[in-house]
Amino acid sequence: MRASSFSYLSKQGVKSLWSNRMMTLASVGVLTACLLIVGFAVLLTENINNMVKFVEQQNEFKAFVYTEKAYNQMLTDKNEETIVPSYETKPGEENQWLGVLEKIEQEIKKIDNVSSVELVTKEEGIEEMKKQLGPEQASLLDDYKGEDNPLNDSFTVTVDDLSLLDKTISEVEKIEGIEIVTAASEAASTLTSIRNIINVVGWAIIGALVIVSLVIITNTIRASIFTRRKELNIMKYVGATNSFIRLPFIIEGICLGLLSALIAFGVIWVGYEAVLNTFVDKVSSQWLQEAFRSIIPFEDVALQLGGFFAISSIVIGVLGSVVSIRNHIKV
Amino acid sequence: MIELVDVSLKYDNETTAVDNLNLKIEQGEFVFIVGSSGAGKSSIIKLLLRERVATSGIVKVNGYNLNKIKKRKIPEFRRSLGVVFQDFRLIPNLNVFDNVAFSLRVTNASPKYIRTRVPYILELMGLTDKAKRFPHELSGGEQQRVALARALVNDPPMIIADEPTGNVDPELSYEIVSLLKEINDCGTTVIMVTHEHDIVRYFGGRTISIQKGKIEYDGYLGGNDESE
Repeated sequence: MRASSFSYLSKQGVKSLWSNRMMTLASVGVLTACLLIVGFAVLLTENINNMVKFVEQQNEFKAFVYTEKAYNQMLTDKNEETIVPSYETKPGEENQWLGVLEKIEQEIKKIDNVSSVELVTKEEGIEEMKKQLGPEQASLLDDYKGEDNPLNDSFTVTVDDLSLLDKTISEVEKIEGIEIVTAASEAASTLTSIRNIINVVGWAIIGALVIVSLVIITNTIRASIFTRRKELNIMKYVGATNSFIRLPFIIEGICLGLLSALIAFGVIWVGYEAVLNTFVDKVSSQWLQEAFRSIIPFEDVALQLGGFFAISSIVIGVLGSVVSIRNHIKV
Repeated sequence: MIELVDVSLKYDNETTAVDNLNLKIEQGEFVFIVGSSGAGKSSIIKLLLRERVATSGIVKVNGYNLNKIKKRKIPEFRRSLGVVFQDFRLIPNLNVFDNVAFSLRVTNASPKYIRTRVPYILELMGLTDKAKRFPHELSGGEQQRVALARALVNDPPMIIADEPTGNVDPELSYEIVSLLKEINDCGTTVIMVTHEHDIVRYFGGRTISIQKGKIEYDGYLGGNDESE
């Protein structure tokens, strides 16, 4: 086909959009809405995936050691020799409690899946709490020193393989001196199941909307064919090939799709940024702020989403046109 | 040029529109096909345009065997014909120039050729001053001349005119047929379907009368056209 013919036929397709402007407006509106829902589903899935990854990266748990008093009580119950608590250890004497902590640390390190172990002493725990309370209220904790410190010493344990987390935890729990273990594994599994549901629902929505979009495009092109049926008939009698007849309608379908994709993309971009900025600034909870920080910036998904919109709208446009013109070129 | 051998056309395998018809039309002939409505004239035209395929028999037009022609060859075949209809079939939103140029565009003609060929044909048809007009601004006779210009612009060896005078005033009807005669004088085969016996009697020439899908008469009538 000559470039001049292609350009002539393309112009006919674009002109047709204007001639049937009410139908064009309706289809662009509905198609945009469909793409918005699809885009929303895609972004939600991507973000949940990202959050799962974020939680998975927090592949650590806390193992709390008995307090020194409770530890000595345990030794007494077993008829073993007790240790001198750290707060009773005089300067220059061996700190037996530190020895116990080191022994526990070594035992944790021996477990296969453990990649690192970090000791957080009860003194560091109090300091951390003071920081969270802020400078004005930090003095409330000033009295919790030495024997009066109610916190436990703890270990922050990082694992290599998150799927073996439960096994690792139960192994740590068995170590003598460990009182309790807390982990974020529940959050990760909840998020994973949410992600799976969204994936299934998301694809179902996308599938349904693709069909809806096809029906809409097909109807618009049919209206366009109806207004140009004389022209089509004449085209056949003067020896136009099927591709020559199809092209303006395919161009019309592509334009409808791309126009809707462009609008939907813009709306999603602006909306996403607005929601993100509003929430990140206003949420006071540290955990939620942390979670929002893991939300994917739009720039990171823009290309993927734009490409998906462009390709799906072109495919739907072409398919809709081909389907609607099929019966009209049999002259 | 046109050869129909034992051709029959049945609709839904019941109604026989064309019944075992044999017909031969040579290059350069001017032929009237006459008959009352429902006689089978339009069905013959549909067969010649390959809008319908014969139920039996052989249909050959311009060297194409229309029973065996491949689908992708149909556009090429149709470009060897110029077709004129009773209802003109002009595109309402295109002006006279673009309506005529339309035939060339579908054949992938170059813009340069379109710019020279269309004004030439419009001049032949006496439509130069109407080039920018739209169909609704023209009289019936003028619209039919535009349709004729569109049929001629590709320089086809054959023109098929299906009741071309059906929608124009009687005096303009004679003008249209005169134009077809002039085209025929240049060597183009013209097949004109009509039910207007006055026109046939006036112009004369080879006349084929169809009745119930069969040829009732095929012969030459002497006309009253003094220009002949």
